Amino acid sequence: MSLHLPVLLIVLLLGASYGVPLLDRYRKNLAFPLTITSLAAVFVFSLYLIFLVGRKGPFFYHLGGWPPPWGIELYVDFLAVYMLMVLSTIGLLVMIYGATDLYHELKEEVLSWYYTLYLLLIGSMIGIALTNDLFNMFVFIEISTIASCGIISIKADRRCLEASIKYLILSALGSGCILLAVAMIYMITGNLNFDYIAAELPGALALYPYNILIALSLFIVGFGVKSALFPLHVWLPDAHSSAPSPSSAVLSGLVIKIYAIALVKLLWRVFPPQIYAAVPVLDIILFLSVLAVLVGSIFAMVQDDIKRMLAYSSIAQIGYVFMGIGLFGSRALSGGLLHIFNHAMMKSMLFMAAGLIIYATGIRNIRDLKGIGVRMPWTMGAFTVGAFSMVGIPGTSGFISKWYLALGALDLGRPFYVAVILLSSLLNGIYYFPIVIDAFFGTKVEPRSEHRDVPALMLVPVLILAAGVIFFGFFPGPLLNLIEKALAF
Amino acid sequence: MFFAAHEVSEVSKELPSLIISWRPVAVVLFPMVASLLVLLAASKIKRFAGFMAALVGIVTFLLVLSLYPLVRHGIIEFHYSNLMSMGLLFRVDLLSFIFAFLVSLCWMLVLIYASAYMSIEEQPVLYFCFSLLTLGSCLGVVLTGDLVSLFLFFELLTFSSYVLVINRLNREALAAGLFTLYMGVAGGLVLLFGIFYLYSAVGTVELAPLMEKLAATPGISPAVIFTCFFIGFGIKAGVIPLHLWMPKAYAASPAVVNALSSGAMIKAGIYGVLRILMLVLTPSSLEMKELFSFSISTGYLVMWLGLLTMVAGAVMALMQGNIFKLLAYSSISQMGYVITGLGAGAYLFGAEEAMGFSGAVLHSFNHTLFKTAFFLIAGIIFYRTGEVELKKLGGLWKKMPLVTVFFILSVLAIAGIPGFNGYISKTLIHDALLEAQHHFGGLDLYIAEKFFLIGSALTFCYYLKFFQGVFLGPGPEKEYFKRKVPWLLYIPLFVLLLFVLAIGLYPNFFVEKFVLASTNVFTFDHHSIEHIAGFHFFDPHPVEAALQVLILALAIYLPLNKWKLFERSAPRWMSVENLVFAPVARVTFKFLCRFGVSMDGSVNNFYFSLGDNFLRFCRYVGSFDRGLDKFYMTSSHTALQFLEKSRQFDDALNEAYERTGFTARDLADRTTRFDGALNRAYEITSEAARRMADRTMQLDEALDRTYERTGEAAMRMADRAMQLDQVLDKTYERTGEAAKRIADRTGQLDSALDRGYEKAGASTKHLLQKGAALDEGAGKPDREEYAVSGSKAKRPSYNPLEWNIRNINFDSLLLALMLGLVIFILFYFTRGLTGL
Repeated sequence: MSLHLPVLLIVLLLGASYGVPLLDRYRKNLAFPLTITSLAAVFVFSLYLIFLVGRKGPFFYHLGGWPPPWGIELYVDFLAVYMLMVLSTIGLLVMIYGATDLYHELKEEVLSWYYTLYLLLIGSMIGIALTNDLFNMFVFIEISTIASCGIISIKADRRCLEASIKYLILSALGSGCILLAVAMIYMITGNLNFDYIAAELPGALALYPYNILIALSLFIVGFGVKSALFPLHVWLPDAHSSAPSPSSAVLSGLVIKIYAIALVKLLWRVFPPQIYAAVPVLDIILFLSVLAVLVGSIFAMVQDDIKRMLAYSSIAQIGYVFMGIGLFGSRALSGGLLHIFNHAMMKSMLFMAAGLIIYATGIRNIRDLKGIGVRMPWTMGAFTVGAFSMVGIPGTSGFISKWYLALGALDLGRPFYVAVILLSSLLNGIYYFPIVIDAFFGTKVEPRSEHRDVPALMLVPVLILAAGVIFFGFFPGPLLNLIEKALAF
Repeated sequence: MFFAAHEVSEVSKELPSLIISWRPVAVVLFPMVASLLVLLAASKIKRFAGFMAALVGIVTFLLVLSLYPLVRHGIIEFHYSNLMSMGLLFRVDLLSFIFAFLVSLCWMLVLIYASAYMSIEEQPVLYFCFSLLTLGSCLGVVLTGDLVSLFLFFELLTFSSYVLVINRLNREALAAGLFTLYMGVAGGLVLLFGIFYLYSAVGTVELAPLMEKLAATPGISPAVIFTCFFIGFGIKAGVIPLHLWMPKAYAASPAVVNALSSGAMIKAGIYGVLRILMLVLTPSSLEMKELFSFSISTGYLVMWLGLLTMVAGAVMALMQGNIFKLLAYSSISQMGYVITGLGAGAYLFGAEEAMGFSGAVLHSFNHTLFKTAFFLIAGIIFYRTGEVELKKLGGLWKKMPLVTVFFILSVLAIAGIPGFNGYISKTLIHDALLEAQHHFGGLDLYIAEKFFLIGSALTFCYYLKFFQGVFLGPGPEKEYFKRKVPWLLYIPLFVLLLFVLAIGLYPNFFVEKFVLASTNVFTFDHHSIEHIAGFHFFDPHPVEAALQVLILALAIYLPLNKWKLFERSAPRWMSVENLVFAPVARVTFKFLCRFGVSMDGSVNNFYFSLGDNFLRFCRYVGSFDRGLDKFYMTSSHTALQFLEKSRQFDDALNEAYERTGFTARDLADRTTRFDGALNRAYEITSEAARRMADRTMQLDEALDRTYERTGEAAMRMADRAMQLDQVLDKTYERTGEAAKRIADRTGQLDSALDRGYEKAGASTKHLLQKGAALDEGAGKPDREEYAVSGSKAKRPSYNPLEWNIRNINFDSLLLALMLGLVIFILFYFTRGLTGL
């Protein structure tokens, strides 16, 4: 049982995603329980896998018993279980929230399709986290791209469709880049398994330097598009702001990060380190991340729509992750990886809180949010925690990741990036604080008639995540432990 | 006296013992937890909040006092190692205790006062809850033992004090609060940068002498670290030019908030500067003289900054008409004294450092006493009259004699009259300056000392102005006394003035027992400590200096008062804010705006030019089409003409044949006639001839027929050709029409595109205009101003959707460009790789 656990996670989710519409034909009310059960099961299995890996160390799993280089290999290491934890936790919480919100936002007949797409998305992301095979990774990337397009366009209004078409085309371009890069790597090394490629590449470097460089740059651009690295971010604000709130939460919280993780895996495990000494790959990433961090915040400042503002803020925050990747020191990278979890918590919480506000009052415009904190104290309380964490106030988890990033930058003797991090914190403050202040201390606006009560089931995930932000702000020890082991490959 | 000095030097020599105790944690956490309880209690009974808060203040004060027996014997420490990845370290030495004492004392008295005072304000619960939270964080700042923990509480202080500042929740308060918040957060971030830098250099953030480790790390400049810390803490302490938030915040918030802010919170900034300058950036032993060079050079700068703050603050205070603003500038000026003392102390390292140090510490304490008293008095005045402008007040000494007495005593204290506490600390700072002059010589230090005297004289002047404006003179015509002042408001003033007199009359006890005893963690020279231990405060020399100040003050005040120069306030442009910060902020904002707009504009331009080019292309295609059309037309015309000509030719040919036929018949006739004639003549040959003639006729007919047929065929061919021509003509016409229609369609599309672009252009132009208008809305450059003032409607009404490019083509282009760029860069640097 435990031996097949890694593949079971993926199979369970993919199977459930096919099961949901089938079941939906006969028993309407069973689709959601099946979804939530499978997500909960994945959550439990992930915890068990963390425990297992923590006790026995990383292990390989050969799909169908075929060892590489013939078969597909899954590698359950600390990085993979770290991502598993992030994916399964946030995925489960967002779905609990979505149970009520989706009824409100979607038409009834597409609900089961939403569950299908959602399960497909989570399953494929878990696949990306676990796989040790380049082409298999590409397949999962494609699945997750299609599924994320689906959960944007499912709302079927003009803006969603437009945004999802844009997302689809741009991410198809990204996928094309990745596929081409995979082909190039395969052409040179004749292998698709990460470890085999890693063994071949140092020797191939002298023979085919251009191919490897093109593959590398294609990977950077491809994953850059998919994870919305700054000049390639153009699809994100439309997509993340127009989608239903659970979709926004999971897209901003998880989907853009998993591609960053895939890139980390490639850069850290596959490509030979001497390439970074000779070619300024990391400097390009760093430069783009600095732009992302600053420009994302500047763009977020001028937004009126709260979800759009959060979307632009995501661009800035993914910049931190890439900054960690670009700095490439162990402490900076652990700061970047930590920020993946922290930002997943904060941003999905903020999107869900924004969704709650929209659900209860129908307000999307930031200017109309005055006095909302008095009417929805719990929601805005959680929002405040998230905002503080975004700014990096000590006592919240955002501070810890920025702390590690800054220390990592100083380890490498680059205080400039510390200044960038701090400046961007100030910029974050400039657009997050007024919302919080207006919400609690602003002059009261007359409540609209359509005010709706907030269901407890929607509020609970938001509060759990808010508590998580504070808890990991004070006790980041276990997470850091895990990341430290993850980076020790 | 000498014996006491000996004892003190003994204490400073031995290493203080370490005591593990959770008491400091309790001191910090108790008010924070209590603030929640107060919130809960207040939701049931509103009146209860003030009473509870006062009680919490008293208990916290007692808790702080309970630290003293432990602190006297050593350093209290408590360490949570796994919090926040760096650990949370509480460490209390005597200096921390002094600051904790002054903070909790100030808070206790203000809370007691506030429990009666807040009845005239609208948000008492908000005040009580957050003042307790602020108390906890303020105590946290002074009781923690490493910079990260300190930073945690420092940030918490920034946020909770923000809520205190905006207590009135009106527009002015919110604007001032947001300004304070942003300055505080910016300061916090600069501070954090300093902490990062220090940590990366020495690997620890302990509050301990670190200069040896710092000197051992190459490439790290202590000046950068100090600048960061000084800016971070200086914003809280109100050092010029970082003081901007203070007058704004003080004018907008209730007196009880200002009393806390001035009495206790700005001391958190002073505490930070003190720890950094005198402790962290010094070596741990006196032997390494050369490591003091940084402290000495920095101390000189800090001293001058302090003097500048002192004099400039005093001048600004002299010009204020609002009593709270006057007190705010007074606070800035007084912090100038403290900074001067610290700077002089650092400057004198190795000689008389304890003089400046103890002057600064004692003056912080004294300032808490008399400035809290001033704010509480101002609060009573506001409580009774509802007025804060000096011009509208007057003649209060008759109505409020007790308050007048309190005020006079406080003025004597702040002005440094012997017998009051201000005299003691000012004498110490003044003596530190004199020592510096004595030690280093030089004109600059002579001027510094004179600056100090002028600053002190000005202090006296603006309080005389205050006194004259509020208590003397005729009262206003209108009766404004509206409330009876409750007795609870006087009690804190009694306590404060008791302390003022106690320190003023028994200075040596306080100086030796507390201030000098707290030097044991610092790297000070024992001789300098001994020197102060036996200091004779009431010698003729320092008293003489105080008298000098008094005479100078009267010499400044009387002429100014005579010519009514106080009525004048400084022109608006003449402030640091309008001279430096506002232009910088405006330029930054303009840059940010321009950045977005120019990016947007360039994208738009791209579209424009794309559309333009497309239009031109369409026009070209249209004209090409038209040319083709014309070509077809002319060619069909030519063909038509050709056909006509060929028909004419055909006709001519026909005619020629006909004529030939006629001629032939004619010839036959002739031949017949000739035949007849011949017949007559030659009958014999006639048969053959007739047969021949017949044959010829037959041939002729056949020929004729042939010719006719040919003509017919030619005619038919001509008809066919004409038909063909017509069909061709029609086809050409149709093609032309279709081409014309396409051209029309293209033109329509084009004009629609054009209209779209024009619209986009117009909106961009609108945006640009708005941006320009925004720029020109000078003085309020930042978005925060808009956010607060609620005048968001003023913001440009562009559609933010336009900020993102919705056109996929452009995005793909961007993608391709990016890819190309990355590949290009990689290839450019590939030479390194091929050498591998």
